[in-house]
Amino acid sequence: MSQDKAQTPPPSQASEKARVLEGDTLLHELRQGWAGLPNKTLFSLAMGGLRVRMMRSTVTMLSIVLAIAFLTYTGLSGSTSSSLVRAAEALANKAMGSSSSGATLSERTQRVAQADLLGKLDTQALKDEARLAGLAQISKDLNDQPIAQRTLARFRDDAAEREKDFNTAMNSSSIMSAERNHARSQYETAARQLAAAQKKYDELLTRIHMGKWVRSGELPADTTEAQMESSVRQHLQKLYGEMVLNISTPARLGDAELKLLDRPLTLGAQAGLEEDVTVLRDVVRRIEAQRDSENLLNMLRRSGVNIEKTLQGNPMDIWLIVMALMTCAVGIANAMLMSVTERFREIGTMKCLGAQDSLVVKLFLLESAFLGVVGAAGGIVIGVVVSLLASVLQYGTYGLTYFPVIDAIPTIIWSVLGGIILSVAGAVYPAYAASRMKPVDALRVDE
Amino acid sequence: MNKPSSITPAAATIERDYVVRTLDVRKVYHMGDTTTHALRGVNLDIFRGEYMAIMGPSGSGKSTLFNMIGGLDKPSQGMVFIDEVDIAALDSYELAWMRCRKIGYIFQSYNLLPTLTALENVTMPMVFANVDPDDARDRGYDLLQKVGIGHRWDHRPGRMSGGQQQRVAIARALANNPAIVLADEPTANLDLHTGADIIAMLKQLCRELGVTVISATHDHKMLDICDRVVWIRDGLIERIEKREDLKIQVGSIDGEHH
Repeated sequence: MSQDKAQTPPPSQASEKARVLEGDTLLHELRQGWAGLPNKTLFSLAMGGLRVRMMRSTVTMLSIVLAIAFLTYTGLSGSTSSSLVRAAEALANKAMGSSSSGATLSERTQRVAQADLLGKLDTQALKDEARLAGLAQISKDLNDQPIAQRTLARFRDDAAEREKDFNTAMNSSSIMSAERNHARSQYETAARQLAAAQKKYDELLTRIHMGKWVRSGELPADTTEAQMESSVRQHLQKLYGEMVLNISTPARLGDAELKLLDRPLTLGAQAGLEEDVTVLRDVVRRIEAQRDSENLLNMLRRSGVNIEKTLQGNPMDIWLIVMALMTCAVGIANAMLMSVTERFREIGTMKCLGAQDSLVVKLFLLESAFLGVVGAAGGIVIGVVVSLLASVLQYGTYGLTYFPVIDAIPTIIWSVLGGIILSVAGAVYPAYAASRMKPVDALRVDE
Repeated sequence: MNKPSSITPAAATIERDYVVRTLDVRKVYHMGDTTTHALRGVNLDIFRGEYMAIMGPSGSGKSTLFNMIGGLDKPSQGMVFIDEVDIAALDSYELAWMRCRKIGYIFQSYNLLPTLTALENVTMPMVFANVDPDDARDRGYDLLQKVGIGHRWDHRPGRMSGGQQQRVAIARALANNPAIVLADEPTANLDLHTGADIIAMLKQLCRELGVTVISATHDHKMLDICDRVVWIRDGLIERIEKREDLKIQVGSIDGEHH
């Protein structure tokens, strides 16, 4: 019968038409049959693919991580240097603040320097103040003491010898007056030197005594508590007074002294000189800002930052970012292309089993978007850590203080978006091509 | 199954219901300058519930015909009806629907998705058909039980033997209660004994479920159990034989071989 069937000519046009029409009701059903694939299932399919192909997904992800880390680092290093330049500029502006009105600066410094800043302090408060002013740190002085003692002894011997020479010269009548004069001047010089050394040694000793007293209440043999207190008071008064007077010539103030200036100013405010102190504080702040600004600029110049160009957007930085972006794009597109092409057969199988083209596209886009999100997150963490480290290595504490936190936010957002967009964009074409393949052709790959 | 409720007068005159009909199907491939006529006018009717083998040397157009019946390819000329729907009239979206609901595929190299477990592989077509996930899981498990590997439902294909993978593939082909199961040399990658098992199982399952099986094969074990054999040569049907006629021949071929 079937033998006959094969030979029978095709049925007539009319009956064929009827059959096709009957098929049309089914066709109608077909058109309504598809409902969207549940997103949960799509997600689990995509995640399953990633989980099982752990090795390859990890490598793809790593390439995204590295690309985004590079991008973040490039972006951040550019904004770090520009943030530092801007900080230096801001500090310099701060240093040029409004000058004081009313009494002149020197009048105010005189008033504060001569005020009895320490008068109200009792013994304990005085000790605390002395400790703050560094009097308690006597280790260096203790180290210097033997050297100073030896120096003093040498000068003493020297002076004694000169005196002897001078005396012999004076007593001898045969000597010329020029030589006598010479011996006198030698003797006088030696005596001056001895006096200076003695004074220095005494000061050293006084400091040591004061330090010991401040530290542990220890008193030298022939002094009383009250004597010690008054000498400490004098010392501090002198120290603070000099510092305050030096505000008008800031070059004389070391960094440590500049910091210590806060103490006399606080005491001055407590002593009722608030108006003067406010002005002086402002001056101190300006001096500090000027110094920071100069230090910052010097350091930036030392590390090769082009200060003028950085502020207008250094073309070198922009070029680096563009290069990083292109490297990212190529790397991610390549990884996604590989992951799609090696799965043509799977795609063919899925299409044979009734997967829609859109499903295949969605599946790959979901996968790559996931890789993009995770990769970008990892990349940003690495990028931020690396650029923090680099900025600390390059600029020291300034790199940390002036790290561009606000500027970093857009960089980070752009990096995340870039990672996702690039990985999805890299997957769009291969996924589209794969989905458009005829199932037969897709199955034939690799066979 | 899926028997059309209303039969047109023309169809009523035929005593048995056709699941696949091809009308003067021709297929031409253009590859550069050369034109290959893969099929030169094939008329073939396949009954519902039949077990049919398509045989022919390689290059005979066997695969082309096979793909055409499976809705994977469209003819250059002529018509292919699957369950009375002309596949040439379908767009890719409807073809996908057709492949999902009407056709089950069994491949020579199993083509299971390596990322999914056996059960997930079986339920995948049901996912595409938007079956409720719980129902899909139950049905998938039943099918795996039926093909005798229910205990390995959570294994991935990489950890299964060829025979086991092909069983999963059979369960997957039957997932959406298809009208047709297309088996493309299902035993070619299997040893003799496993191949025989697979064929027996296919035959038994399809009889139980009333599914039409169309199989491209070189395997003579297959010929032993099929209802009809279509021989293709040079893009034309050479002959169609019923099993009763065939048995003698198969015997003689086997005799020559052993």
